[in-house]
Amino acid sequence: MLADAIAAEAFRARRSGGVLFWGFIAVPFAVLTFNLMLSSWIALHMRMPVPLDLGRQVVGGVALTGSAFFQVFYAAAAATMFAADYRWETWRLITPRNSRASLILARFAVYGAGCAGSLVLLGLAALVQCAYGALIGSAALVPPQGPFLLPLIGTFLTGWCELMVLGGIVAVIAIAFRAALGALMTAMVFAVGQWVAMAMVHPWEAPFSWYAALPRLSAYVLRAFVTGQELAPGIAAGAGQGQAGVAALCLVGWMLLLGGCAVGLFQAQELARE
Amino acid sequence: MTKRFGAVTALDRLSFSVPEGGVYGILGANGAGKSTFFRLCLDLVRPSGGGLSVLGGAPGQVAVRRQIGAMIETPRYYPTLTAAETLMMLARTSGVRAPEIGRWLARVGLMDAVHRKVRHFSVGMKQRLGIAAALIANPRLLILDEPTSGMDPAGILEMRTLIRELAAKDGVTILLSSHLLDEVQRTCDRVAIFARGTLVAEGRIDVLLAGQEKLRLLATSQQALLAALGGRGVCDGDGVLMTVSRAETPSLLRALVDGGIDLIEARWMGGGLEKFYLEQTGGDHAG
Repeated sequence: MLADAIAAEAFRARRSGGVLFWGFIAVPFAVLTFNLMLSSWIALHMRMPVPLDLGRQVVGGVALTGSAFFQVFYAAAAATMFAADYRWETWRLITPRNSRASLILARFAVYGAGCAGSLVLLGLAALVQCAYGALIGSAALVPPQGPFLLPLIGTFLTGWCELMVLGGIVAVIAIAFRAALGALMTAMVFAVGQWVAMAMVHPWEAPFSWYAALPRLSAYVLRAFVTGQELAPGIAAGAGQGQAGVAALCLVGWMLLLGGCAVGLFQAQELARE
Repeated sequence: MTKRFGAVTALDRLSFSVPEGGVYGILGANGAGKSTFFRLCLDLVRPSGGGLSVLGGAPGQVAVRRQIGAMIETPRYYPTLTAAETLMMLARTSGVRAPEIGRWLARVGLMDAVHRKVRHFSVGMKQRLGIAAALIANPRLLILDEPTSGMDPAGILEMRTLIRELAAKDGVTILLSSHLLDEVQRTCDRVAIFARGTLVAEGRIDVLLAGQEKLRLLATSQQALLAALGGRGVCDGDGVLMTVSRAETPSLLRALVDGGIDLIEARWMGGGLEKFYLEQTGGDHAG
C-alpha cells in the first residue's frame, strides 16, 4: 500500500516541474552559478590560484543546506507537497484509494528523495566549481587533507535529517491548518528563530541538555563533530562526542515525532471540506 | 447512523440498506445530507453515532475502499496533469499496476482529450473524467454524486446508458445522487429520499410510485377499450385512465392488442418521481 502511494506521489512530483525546480534544484543551481562567477572573478583579478581542498569543498557544499535562507526553498517544496491537496481540493479524489498513513508517508518519502537529490547536486556543484576553477586557473586543487568520506556521509545525513525535520514542521502545520502559506511562514519563523537564538545564547557554552533540543543546534553540533571543526573558537567538536550522540538522537527524534504528528493529524482529520 | 458537524445535525438516525447490484438513487434538497452520506461511505468523515458497513466491512478498511470508485461533488484535479496522467496517478494510488486508461477514457467520451491538461477542461469534461477516475480501479461499488451536473443533453444520455450498462453488464452496484428526478426515474431501480438529514422514503421506484401514476390509453374505440379493461379503467375525455404498475404494463398492452383493440397512444399521467419527491419532502429545497 505504501509502495503504491509512493509510486503515485513520485509520478505526480515528476510532472510538477515548478516544485521540483524551486524546491530541490534552485539552491544547487544558484550556488553553482554564484561559485562559477566567483571563480571567474578570482581568475580575472587575483591572478594567483587559490588552493582548494576538493574534499572540504564538497563537504562544505553539502553543508550549505544548514543555511536558514536556503531552507526557505525546501520549506516551500514541502508546503506545496503537503498542502496541494487542500488547495486543489483533491483529497476526496485520493483518500478513498489508499490508507491515510500511506498517503502522508508517501509525501515524506518523495520530499526526502528530493532533499537527498538536492544534497547530491550541491556536492556535484562543488566538484564542478573546483574543476572549473582549476581549468581557468583560479584554483589550485590539493588532495583532501584528512578523512573525506566519513565527514561527507555524516554531513549528508545531518543535512538530510535537518531538512526532514523542516519538512515535518511544514507538514504538521499544512495539515492542521490546511494551508501552504501558513506552513511556509511557520517554517521560516522557526528557521530564523533558531538562527537568532543560536546567535544570542552561545549554546556551546550552555549545558547541553536544553539546547540540543533545537534541531538547528543539533545539526550544528553534528556537523562540527563529523567534520572535526571547532564548535566555537577554542572549543573542539571532538571534545563533545557524547554531545554529538545526543544531538543525533534529538534530530532523529524530531523527525519521527513530527512525522508521527502529521500522520496522526491526517488520520483524525474529517475531510468534509478541503 | 447520525452525523453532526458542531451544532448542525447533517444526518439524523439514518437506517437503511442498499442491495448489491443495480442502480440506487439518493435524493434530497441541497444540504439534505447526500454528500455527507457519501463521505461517510468513503471514510472521509466518521459517524457521530451508530455506524455503517460497506461491502461487508468498515469504510475505514483499505481493502473495502479499494473496491469503491467515487466521484464526490464537483470533481477536482491536479492542474499540472493531463487526463491520462490523472488516471495513471489515481490508478497507482489504488494499487492498479496496468490500468486500462484508454478504455475508460473512450467509454466516457474523452479520447480526444487524453493528453490535454485537466485545467483546460470544461465542467462537463471534468465530470466525465471524474467518472473515468471512479472506474479506473474496476470497483464493485460506484458512488456518483451528481454525475450529470454540467453535462449537455447528449452527455446526459450517454451517461445514463453507461450507468445502466455498468450495472447490467459489469455487475457494478451504483449509488448516485441527482437533482434531475426524471433522470433518476429512468436510471435507478431504488431510491432513498433524504429531507433535513432524515430518511423520509426508501424502496423500489415502481413500488413507491404504485398508485401514484395512471396510464392513459387512447384507442380507436373508447367503448371497446373500456370493455376490454373490464372495469379497471375510467373515462378521461376521449381516452381511458387506469391504475397499473409499470411492470404489468407491457403484458397489459400486449393483451389489449391481441384482443383486437387498436391502440393509438399509451402514456403515463401525473404522479412520477417528482411529484412523489415533493410530497415526501414537503417541497423542501434548503435542507
